[in-house]
Amino acid sequence: MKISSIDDFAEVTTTQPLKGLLVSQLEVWFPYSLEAVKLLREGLILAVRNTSSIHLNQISNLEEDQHYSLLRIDSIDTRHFVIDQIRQDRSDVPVSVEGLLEKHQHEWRRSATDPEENNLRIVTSVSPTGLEIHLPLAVANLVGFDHAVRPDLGTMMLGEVAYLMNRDVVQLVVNRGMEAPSSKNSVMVAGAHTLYRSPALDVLLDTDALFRRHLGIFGFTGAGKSNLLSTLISSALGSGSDEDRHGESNVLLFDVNNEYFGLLVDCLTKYDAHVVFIDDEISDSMAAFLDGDYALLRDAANEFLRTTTLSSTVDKLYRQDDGQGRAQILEITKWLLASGCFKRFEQSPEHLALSVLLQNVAQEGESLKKKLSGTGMKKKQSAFGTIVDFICSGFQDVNRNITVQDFESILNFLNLAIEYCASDDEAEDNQVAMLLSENIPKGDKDKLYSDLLGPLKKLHDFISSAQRDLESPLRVKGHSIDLSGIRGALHDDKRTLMIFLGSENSLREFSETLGSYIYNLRRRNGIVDPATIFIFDEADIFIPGQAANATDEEKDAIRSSKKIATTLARRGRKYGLGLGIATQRITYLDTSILAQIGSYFVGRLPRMSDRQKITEGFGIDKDSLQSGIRDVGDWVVLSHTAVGDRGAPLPVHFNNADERVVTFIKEFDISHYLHLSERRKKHDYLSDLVENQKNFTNPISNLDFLP
Amino acid sequence: MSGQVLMGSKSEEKLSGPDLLEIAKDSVVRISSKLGEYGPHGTAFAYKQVMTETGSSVYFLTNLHNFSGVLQLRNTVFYLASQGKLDDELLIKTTVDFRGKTYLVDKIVSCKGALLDAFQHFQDFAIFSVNTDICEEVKMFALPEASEARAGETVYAFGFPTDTDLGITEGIISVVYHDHKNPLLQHQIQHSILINPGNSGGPTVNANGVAVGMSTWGQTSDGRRSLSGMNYSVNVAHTFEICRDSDLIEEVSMERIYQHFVARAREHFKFGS
Repeated sequence: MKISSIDDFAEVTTTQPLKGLLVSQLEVWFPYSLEAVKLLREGLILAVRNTSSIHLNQISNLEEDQHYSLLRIDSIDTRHFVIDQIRQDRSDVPVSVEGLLEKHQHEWRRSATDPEENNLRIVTSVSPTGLEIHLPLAVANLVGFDHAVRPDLGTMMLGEVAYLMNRDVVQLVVNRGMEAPSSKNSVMVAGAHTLYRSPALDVLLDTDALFRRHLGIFGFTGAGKSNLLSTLISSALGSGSDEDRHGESNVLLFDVNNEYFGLLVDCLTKYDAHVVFIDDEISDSMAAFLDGDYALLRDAANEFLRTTTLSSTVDKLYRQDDGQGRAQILEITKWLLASGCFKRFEQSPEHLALSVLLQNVAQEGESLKKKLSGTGMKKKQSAFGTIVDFICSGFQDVNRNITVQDFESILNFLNLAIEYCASDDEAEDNQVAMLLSENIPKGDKDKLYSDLLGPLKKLHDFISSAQRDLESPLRVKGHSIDLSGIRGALHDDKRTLMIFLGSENSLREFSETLGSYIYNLRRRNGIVDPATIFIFDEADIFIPGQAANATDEEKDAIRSSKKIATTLARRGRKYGLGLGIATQRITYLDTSILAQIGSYFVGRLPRMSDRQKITEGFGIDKDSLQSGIRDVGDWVVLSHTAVGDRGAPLPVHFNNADERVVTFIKEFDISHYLHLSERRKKHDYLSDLVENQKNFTNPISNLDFLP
Repeated sequence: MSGQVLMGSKSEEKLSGPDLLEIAKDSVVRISSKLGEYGPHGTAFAYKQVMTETGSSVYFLTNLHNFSGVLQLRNTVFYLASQGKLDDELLIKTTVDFRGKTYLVDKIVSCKGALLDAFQHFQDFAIFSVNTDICEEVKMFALPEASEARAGETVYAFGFPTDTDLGITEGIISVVYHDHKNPLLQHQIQHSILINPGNSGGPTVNANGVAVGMSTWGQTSDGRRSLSGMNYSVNVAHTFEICRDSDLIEEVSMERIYQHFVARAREHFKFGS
């Protein structure tokens, strides 16, 4: 498109661009017309020519470049100057005022665009965006020069015409400097600008900056905080592609109300997801299932669905008369349970000391020994005892952690003994033969040694099972997870979503345990990736300003959660650790943390004190904080880091998470899902088969198959 | 009789579609690798019959991917395991339906390491035999001599696309590739026969009754545009060339792989990956 003037970017009325006048640096007046009233909205952009457009050394008659400063409309007011005057002076009777108003209304209705009443103005108060739109008209015919939004260097002159900018300019301002979302970056479409919902003007958000520079969600009850959080998490985890971004984002969610399962169930099936119970507040059937009783799969799923809070829309689906919604949700929950998504948090297992194992071996050996009976009982018992003693006294230092080699050496020795006792050969010069011949003369071998086989094998089994137990995936994986398991999940190349469930106090304490573990790990090792966010829903529980009514126990727990939240807020950024908080009362929060938060999502906040806390930090008009919010799902985004239009209140309509989840549940098809997850897991089981290849293959033995 | 080897022979005169279909009905079979009701199926064709005392052993050629497809189903295994299915309901089996009977396929001959690793199309073959009680001669297509496939020749494919019965489709050979810089095309016969999933492993036969190729894959898109009529068969002459070098091939026990696979999936279900 060839640019000819600012008119190309201006909103037009039926006849011409809507024009106002710059009356002061903070005020623009528009003539009062029906069309102007309809077009002007808080949050829209005005353009006023600035001094950079005036070229003092003009030498040609060519068109010159034009620069227009961009202003944001903060509030809109209508003023009748005569009436104002009358009211100020109190010099006239009310009838005059009413008469004037009647006349003006009458005239205004008659003429939509060109009112005759000329004492009436739409007065907009504006604030500078710090940006200008540059129209390179002098070189407009050359390729490569195009209009651009860039930092404003000029000054506006009073009396200049102000143009209301159209959607294209709003888009340029809102998403300035943002890359288009692609598989290679972490940019996502957050939602639609509330003034341009259909067709949607996409507002872009950089999830990486959002997560690393902390985020806060503030809205009164019913504003949809959880819903917004679900939308943000779902889009953030979904942005970019795995191949290019290697699991750039992880989400850890401390879910006091047990409500995010229902809000993120689609994400739980898509990513490396964990629902972690951190204390014993779980149903019996769930506890039994997690302990390995798989017959209780269905009961555990049902029980969990009874205790989790489903959002109203999902709940409606769950309670549908035909039972289909319920069946689908149950199917998904069962699937998640079966695939090991639910687990218990367990403190890291103590490393088993060698001495403990040897004690157990001695005990087991003693009881096995006593069972030996029949001919030559004494001889057999003492021979078996020698073997047990040999094992138990064979190590120099027993007060150390057990190693794989320890197991191997014990099992090797037992294998030798079993082999020797089973063989027909007379004593060879091996360790076992020498030990045994002390108690059973060589001549008695045939008779007595075979009786030793049983106990020896049992002892072998006992030790192998101890080894399996130590190496068992159950200790660290599957249905329980410890800190190292969480660490592993957070630092692999998969996107991880973890929802932690438990009582308030357990969650507070656990947040500190986990947070400081991950923080210290990253600090010590200089790890900055992937971006990982700790999200505290109902943040006033975790980081209250004061906790006067709390019990001592609660106070201790609060101290813990406050400590980690403060650490993350102040220093987490350096190590890719972000903090996310959601609450309805900002006033109740510890304010020192608020100052560190890079992005605010503000919903309806009826209390002035809450609004003030936010506007102070951003130096913005407190009215513009709420003016963008018209509908459910509308939020004002304020961010210095994650959006294009930095530091400005950006009204965004976010997608409804409930709709996303309900669609997912309705469309969930286990067979399709199996197919998807097969792809994801393809690698690990194929590599397992490859490792065991020798067990399946043989060289060609006959060539009969050849033609 | 015992020990007698029978193979299809090349017809001197051109055979019609129905004639060829008569041969195919005798020797082209459906091969299924299934876990319960899940899993893919394809086509295999007999090329050699060795008479035994009790009947005959029949040798078949098919695509390797008719076996490897089922190895994608681990999650199905552990979903079934989570539903409390017993071991005998969790069996994975590869079977062929041959002359009204179902035969289990265990040992196959294939390119070394190919089954568990990425393989090129020209390595996408598997040979197996089944012992039958068939005493009469099975009608079979002849095997080709080197470079018997010629571009421009009319060819037919036989197979069981999707869930259909044995069918025949026709086309002509477009290109015969030997060595080619694109490894996908090496030793492939490009033709215009309509083939679909389920045709895999079926013979590509010329009018003389020679199975010059084995239907293996088709190209439906180059990433930007959709394509049609670009289908490929593995050159059977080259397949047997590979088989003559016993360093390049191995014997694989599918039964053991399947057992290991189910065991691992059960373990996964129990403990998580």
